[in-house]
Amino acid sequence: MAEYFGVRHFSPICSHLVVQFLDRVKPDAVLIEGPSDLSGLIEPLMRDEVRFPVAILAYTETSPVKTVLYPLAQHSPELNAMKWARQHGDIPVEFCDLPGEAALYHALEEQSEKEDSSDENAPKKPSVYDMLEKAAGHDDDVFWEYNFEQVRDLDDYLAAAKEYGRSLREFSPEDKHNELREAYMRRRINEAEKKYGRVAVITGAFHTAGLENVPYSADDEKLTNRLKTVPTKATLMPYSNYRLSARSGYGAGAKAPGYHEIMYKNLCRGVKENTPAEYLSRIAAFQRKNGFAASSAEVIEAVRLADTLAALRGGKNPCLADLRDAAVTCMGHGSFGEVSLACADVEIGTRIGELPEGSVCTSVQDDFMRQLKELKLDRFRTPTAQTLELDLRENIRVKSEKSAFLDLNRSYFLHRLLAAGVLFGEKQRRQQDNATWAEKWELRWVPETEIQIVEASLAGSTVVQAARNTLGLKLTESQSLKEISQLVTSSFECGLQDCVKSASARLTELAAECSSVPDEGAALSELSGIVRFGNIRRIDPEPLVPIIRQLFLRICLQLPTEAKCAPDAAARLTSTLAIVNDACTAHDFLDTERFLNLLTGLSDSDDISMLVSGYACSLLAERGKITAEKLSELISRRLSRGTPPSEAADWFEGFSKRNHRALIIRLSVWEKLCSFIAELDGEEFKSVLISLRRTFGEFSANEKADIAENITEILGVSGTNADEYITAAVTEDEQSAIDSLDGLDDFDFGDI
Amino acid sequence: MSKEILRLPAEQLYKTEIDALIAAEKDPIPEGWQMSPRSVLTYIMGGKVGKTVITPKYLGDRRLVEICIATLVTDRALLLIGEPGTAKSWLSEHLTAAINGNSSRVIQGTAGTTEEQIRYTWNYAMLLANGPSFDSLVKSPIYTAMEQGAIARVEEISRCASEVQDALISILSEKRISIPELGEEVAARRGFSVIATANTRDKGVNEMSSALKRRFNIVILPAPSDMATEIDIVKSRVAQMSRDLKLTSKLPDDSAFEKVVTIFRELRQGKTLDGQVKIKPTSGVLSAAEAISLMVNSMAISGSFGSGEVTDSELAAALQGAIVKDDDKDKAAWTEYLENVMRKKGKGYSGLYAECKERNA
Repeated sequence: MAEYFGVRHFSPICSHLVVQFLDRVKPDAVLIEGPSDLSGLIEPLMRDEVRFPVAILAYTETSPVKTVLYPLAQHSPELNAMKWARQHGDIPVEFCDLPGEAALYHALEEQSEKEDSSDENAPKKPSVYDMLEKAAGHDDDVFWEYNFEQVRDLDDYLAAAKEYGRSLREFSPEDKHNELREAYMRRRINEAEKKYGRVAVITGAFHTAGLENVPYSADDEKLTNRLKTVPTKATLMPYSNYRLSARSGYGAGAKAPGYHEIMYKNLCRGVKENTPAEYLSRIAAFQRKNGFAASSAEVIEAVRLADTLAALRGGKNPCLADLRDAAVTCMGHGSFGEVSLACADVEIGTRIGELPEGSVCTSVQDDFMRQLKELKLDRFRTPTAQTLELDLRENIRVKSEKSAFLDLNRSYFLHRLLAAGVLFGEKQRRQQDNATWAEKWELRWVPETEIQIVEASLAGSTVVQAARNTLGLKLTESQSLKEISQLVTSSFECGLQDCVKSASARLTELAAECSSVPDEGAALSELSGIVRFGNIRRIDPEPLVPIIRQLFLRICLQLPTEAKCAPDAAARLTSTLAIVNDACTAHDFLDTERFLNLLTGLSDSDDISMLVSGYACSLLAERGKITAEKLSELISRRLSRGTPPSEAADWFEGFSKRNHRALIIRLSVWEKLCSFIAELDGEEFKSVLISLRRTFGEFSANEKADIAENITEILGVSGTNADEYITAAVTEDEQSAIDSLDGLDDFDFGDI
Repeated sequence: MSKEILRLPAEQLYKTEIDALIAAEKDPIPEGWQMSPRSVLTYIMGGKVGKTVITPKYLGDRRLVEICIATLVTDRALLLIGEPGTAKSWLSEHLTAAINGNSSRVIQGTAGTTEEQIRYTWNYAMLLANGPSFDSLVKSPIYTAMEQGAIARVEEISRCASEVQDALISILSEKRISIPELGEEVAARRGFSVIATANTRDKGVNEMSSALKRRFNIVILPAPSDMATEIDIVKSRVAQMSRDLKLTSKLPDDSAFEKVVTIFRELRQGKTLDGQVKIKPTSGVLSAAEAISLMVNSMAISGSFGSGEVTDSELAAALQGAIVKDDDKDKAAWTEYLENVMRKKGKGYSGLYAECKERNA
């Protein structure tokens, strides 16, 4: 004997009435729509420490990973049925839908079918819900709320739900999978009847109509005897209201979990008529908390408007859509944007589920907990953020190797979590740039973290595996040199030697095709950093050396042609030059001779960007690889009348970018600069001034003072009469020259 | 001399529809109304009552109209906000026509509107002769609406000076006007409400105070959401206006409507309909209302001076006038649109393109 109760998942009224239903039926067992092989998970769900929403997650063991989710909220009718059974002498509760392994098999099939069918643009058939919307004039959420949530009586509801399910079936297209599911459910019901006697069956209203009055037949048995399955695993996972609303496992009904909570609470207290007022007051409260005006008068007006709207649309009480319209009109001044955040907060809510330790049983979870203990990080499992300072160097004062590298292993662990998408720790930027042995982390444990860990289990069965697979996936997806070189760094930080290898291989491949010098420079900088400081992570950076060589060579070959470019591109090239210069000093396996030749060529070349040329020249000067005569010759040539003044200024800018001190002590440079400026006429001076201003902006105040001293020397003004010189009245000539520059103050620096 | 009226008010134009709705009424009617809220909705959105077909008056979001009607049922005042030409006044006229059978209690908001025009003023000859009395009182449309328990309309409320707007605040919250000269007070009967409209694009308007805004339920009317709706709107209104104005020209064919609406939508959105090409927008307001007047205009031109059929030449002339508003920038933008977009639209547009190009030269 079976009694049927058709629900809409997450419907508050169903949740409220299912208890009455069970009280009346007094079943010997309860069957619920859910994967039958996961009935074992009902027990842990019933523990007192569980905070909903929680989901049952089943996933395939092998890739491609497919998942099915069965989320449950506090107000789910299914959950109430489970609770009822427990409170009434532990009546057996079982799931009766297809096992997860069969459902996942179907999901995989469906996906491959979708990929096979090339006709993507085929017009989508209107679903039964579209038809309902057309017939009723509003969508199925509104339809349900108007017609079902307002029901008070159990019998009314049962009759209405039966009719609803029947009509839905009448207009739904045939679905093989659905037939299989229902055949299976019939089989389970039949078995349960034999085993327990009186059975209550709680399924979606749609299925109820296909189960009730359809006897279990030989066809059903044949159909369900050999189910096709894939190997799967399953677990409970904490869920959040946000996830409930964003991607519900079921088709409908969970767009507004926060609102449903309000409805359910008021239903339980017997004051369901309070729901509209509570919803609107909460919107107003949210608005006030966030600094917008929202008066009680507006709430009252909104409640009245919602009532009238419902009446106009044919509902007894306002539904969510009416309430939202009222809120927009009365509190949002007609625009949804003004109350959209409040609506999201109230309708969806921020509730996050929790499960007692041990009840979540993915292997990643176990691995995470084990490592947390091993690495002595347990104390960071708190919601308040705490800082952790790591010293990656070997601690030589301890005995065991494990504790000697404790901090390094911690760093690996945290980096691997990051790579696997678990945001447990956040890496902080350090003040001191070159202390590569030190790291600073901010650790914080929030319920979302737990959800992320469960999701990481889809990528692998341990933290390391999850990190490795996620990095691998990213590697195949990324197309730019920069992304990949960052992935190399990540793999390095995670301590994953094999990832480093595969990423490097990919890098070599891409580097051969790359033609952007700045990108190559960025990659070179990342790799050079790893090779220089990598041994602190006890990973052999040797495989990277050939790539660095390759990048270095490419840059050296491309630069002379690339340097014939516009000023903004030139600025990027100078930073690339700086990177190569650093790499060259750091790694003796690089061909320094080639680089010096490149620099000499650049600094002597007249047809490239003068900024780059000047910069190359300063690098040479810094390394002492240019003779004083050559330098003097270059300076004279660049700052002579033959060079256009703006180019001369660019050159000087590039030239002065490096070592300011070395520049200041070279008096001859300043002499030439002085005479260069003195020779300019008014117009030329104006154009040069901008770039000179920029150049000197980078000097410190002390340096500027020293430059001024240089200049006084050159102009033959001694310290004593400088005062006189400066305070003397401005002559007419000078005044007119200054006036002509006035326009420069209006200069639009946005253009530079 | 013709005795015919140029433009009939809505309640007379659609008298048969309103009568049919009233005759077939089944739902409860709010006090002061002549039909139920649901019938008002049918009147605005269209439908069928018995044998009478109700033409849709507002083509757009049904929910917005529902909010408008529900607002008036709750005796709150209604404020319609939107860009020019989004059917604010049109909707307000038809709402009052359906609810009261009288859409003529209007105050036109201008910079010169005074507080007296909102409340009441005096017949000064009588005031001097007989002293203050109800007889010498000249009532404003709002005053009469309060007395009769009906709905008054305030057009372009944001063009009124702030003190005039403020005069509305007490009327809307107290629902009464005091006449200190007579020591009397007039209380509004049930059914009294106000529908105001305001423009978002206008320059030189007086921002509404939040005190006044709070007394209104605000509904923002959007531009027509999709191409088909906009073509429908323009077509139906042009057909109706040409009947009213007795234009001799034939109604332009569908392709002409499609062309004009396409051009307007593209210029309004600053990109082509397929989103492929960015377009420099022009300064003018290219609303559905503007498209309607453009079509009527070209019909008038062709009826009076042309072949009696709207050709590309008439359309081009009207487009030029609507899009290029004595501004060199508009002219440049229009040229750019012609060359970059319209020229590439293919055969259907080639005639119009040639005409437009000639006129814009």
